[in-house]
Amino acid sequence: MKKFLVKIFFFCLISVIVYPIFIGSLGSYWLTQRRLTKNLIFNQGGNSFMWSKLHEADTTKDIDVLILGSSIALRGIDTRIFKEYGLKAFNLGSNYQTPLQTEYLLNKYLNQFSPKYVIWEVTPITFQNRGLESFIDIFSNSNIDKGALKQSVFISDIIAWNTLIISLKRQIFDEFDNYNEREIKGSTKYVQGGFVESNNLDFDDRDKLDLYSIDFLEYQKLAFEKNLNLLNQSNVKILLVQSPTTYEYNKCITNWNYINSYFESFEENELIVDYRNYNEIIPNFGKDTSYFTDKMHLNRIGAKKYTKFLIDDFIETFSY
Amino acid sequence: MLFNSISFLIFLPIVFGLYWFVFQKNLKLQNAFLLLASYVFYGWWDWRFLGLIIASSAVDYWCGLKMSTVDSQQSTENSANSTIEGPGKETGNKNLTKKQPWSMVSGLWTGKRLYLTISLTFNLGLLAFFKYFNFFIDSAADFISLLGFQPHISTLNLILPVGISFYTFQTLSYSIDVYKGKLKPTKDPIAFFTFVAFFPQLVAGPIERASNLLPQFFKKREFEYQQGSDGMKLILWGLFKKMVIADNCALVVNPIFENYQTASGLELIMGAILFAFQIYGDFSGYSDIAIGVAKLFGFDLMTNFRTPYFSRDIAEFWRRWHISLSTWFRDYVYIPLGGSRVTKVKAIRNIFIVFLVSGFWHGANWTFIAWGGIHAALFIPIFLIGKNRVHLNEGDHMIPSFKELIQMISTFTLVSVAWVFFRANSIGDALGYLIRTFSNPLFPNSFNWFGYHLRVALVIFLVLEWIGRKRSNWIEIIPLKWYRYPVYFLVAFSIMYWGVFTQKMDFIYFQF
Repeated sequence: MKKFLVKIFFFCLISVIVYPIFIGSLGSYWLTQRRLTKNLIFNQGGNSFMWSKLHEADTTKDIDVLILGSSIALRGIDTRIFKEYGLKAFNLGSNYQTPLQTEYLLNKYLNQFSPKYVIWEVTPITFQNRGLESFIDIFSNSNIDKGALKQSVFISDIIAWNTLIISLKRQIFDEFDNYNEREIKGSTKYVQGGFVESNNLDFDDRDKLDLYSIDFLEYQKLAFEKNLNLLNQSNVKILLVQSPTTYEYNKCITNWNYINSYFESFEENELIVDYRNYNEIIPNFGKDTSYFTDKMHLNRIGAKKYTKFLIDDFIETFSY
Repeated sequence: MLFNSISFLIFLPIVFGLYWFVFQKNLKLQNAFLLLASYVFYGWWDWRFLGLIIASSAVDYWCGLKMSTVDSQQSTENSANSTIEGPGKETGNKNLTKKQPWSMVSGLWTGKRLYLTISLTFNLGLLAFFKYFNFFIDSAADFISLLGFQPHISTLNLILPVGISFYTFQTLSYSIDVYKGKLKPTKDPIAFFTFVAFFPQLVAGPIERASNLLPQFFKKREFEYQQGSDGMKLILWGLFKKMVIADNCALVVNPIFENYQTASGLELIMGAILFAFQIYGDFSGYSDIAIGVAKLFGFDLMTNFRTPYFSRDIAEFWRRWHISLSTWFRDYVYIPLGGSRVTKVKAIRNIFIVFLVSGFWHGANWTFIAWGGIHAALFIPIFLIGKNRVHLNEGDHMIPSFKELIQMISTFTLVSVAWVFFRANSIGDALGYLIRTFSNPLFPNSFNWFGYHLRVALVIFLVLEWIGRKRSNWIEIIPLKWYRYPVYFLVAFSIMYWGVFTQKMDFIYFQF
């Protein structure tokens, strides 16, 4: 028995040591070949331009408005329009950003940005997601720190750990700095201030949608409330928003009452929070597919129109 | 609890540690602990259905004891008779069991036969109620509709208890063996209940025979390094089969079967082939893990698969696929019906019955019956020309001959076609799938081959399966040299690197 247990122990121990070397060497090679990478996703740059965004964020200070949330915020809230209103804004939105990843980004950038306001796109599906996609998006483009390890434990997914291994390897061997991200990828363009402009004006109708209700994960709710408290402690005023998505998409979600009442509940306590569901405030917006690239995301024309409406409402709400 | 879940990863070492370090001194306590662990394992899914296993075990335990009592009473009577009638006349147990035909209805409610009837009725009743009730009701409703009437029948919202087909067959084998006098009934309820609920093979087999597994509960078990090591190897390879082969195939197969109407011929062919690998990886993977886990506790379970896709005809396939079930049907259905030692017509009837019942055992759907029927139709011609026992061993050569290769490919093709019925939601879907394989355009607008990693994994898998075709597994024949460790690491790393972790993938045979 002793021999058996000792061998099992050493097998596990050596696996823990050798596996990162295996991923760091062979995995890295397969990544360059784009082959055999089933559980290895390393999304440097990616379609959210995270590399450029985080690099810009590292040098950005003292802004008026910080935008948080998923790709709906990333592609729907145009920071250039804020400039027209004399506001300095930064869009920290990323693909499928869940409250867990928002917590990481706030801990990293809140003091440096010291924003007066936060506009937070609270896409309902991100509250029922573990946040793997967003984790990969962020940590393929950022150095690994304690926060990253904490997140990987929460997500508990082999893909997240593999991403961390590759990221750590790049960090150790200074490989991160060799990367230069293009400003335009296909029909998308990175705009200073963290916005990603979608220039594809043809509406993509391919996604088939089924009816579903959304249940928020408890730990995402906890992270969300923690983030609100953190912002509250820094005297930041918060506008929670549901940005326009297509009418077809909205009607697939069957429990909007639950979703709205959850976010509206924060308006009643001491936090300086307002909540707007623009799908209800401007219902015709979602019916016009010329504003969208797909069922969830605005194109540049839609983003421009929506951002103007958002800023007007924002100014009125906070008497800016 | 799934073998490839975090909960099992925590459960197994705890049970292993307590089993060997706390309860080893007392065999009865060790068995009792194993029983408790097995019930926790099963109750993890739904504790309410533990009652069914306990009831099934209790009925068979009681029936076994009663049959033994009847036996001893009859022996006493017979010995009294023999004194009168004089010596030389064969009496007692053997006489009762072998000379009375199965089909004899008279005496159904007397003697040993009564208790066998109770056992069969109870276990098959459980199966019929939980697994087939809705099927019979729906089929009756369909039939009435066909006759032009409007049926007003409602079905029950029954949950199918996981593994019910496996453990009822296991307990039935005990009752039948005791009835036939092949096995002495046990008087140890803990050992018997543990035999029925033994967690490594409880929910998806192998379906153990009481004569093989039950005696192991009475033997003092000592941990043996080689047995434990073999167990770990089997668990590792089983996980590879399940998580790398089966689950990755499922990611390709599921959308093809869901959208077969619009898929191209090539995609449909690919879907059928990959499903063959999916179900093999899934089920044989589960069996390997089950056998491996049992070894960790000092038990030897029967082999359930022996590289079935290298079979050269359907008869050989059935000697290598789900061996514990096919031998169960052979011993408890086919042979009692007369097997092949009857007229040709009756033998054909027997083959059909066994295959149809075997198909129906898998699930309450006409697709499974059709699947069984297809296999019967493929088997019978070989049986009629007397070639069903030609390929009894694997051969020694490293490379198959051209003839063998053709035989293997054609057997695999036939098996894959039959799998379409097994996988489809209805007979109509299965027929639609096969018709569209040839009527839809062969090439799609943009053909998307399945992932490169799956192609590589399948090639490696086939090569290793070929190497280990004479055993149940290649991993058992790696020499005990230093280089075995890099091999184990590679298998473990490929599970981590290529395995499916994100989607919830149940074992296919759990539903049976």
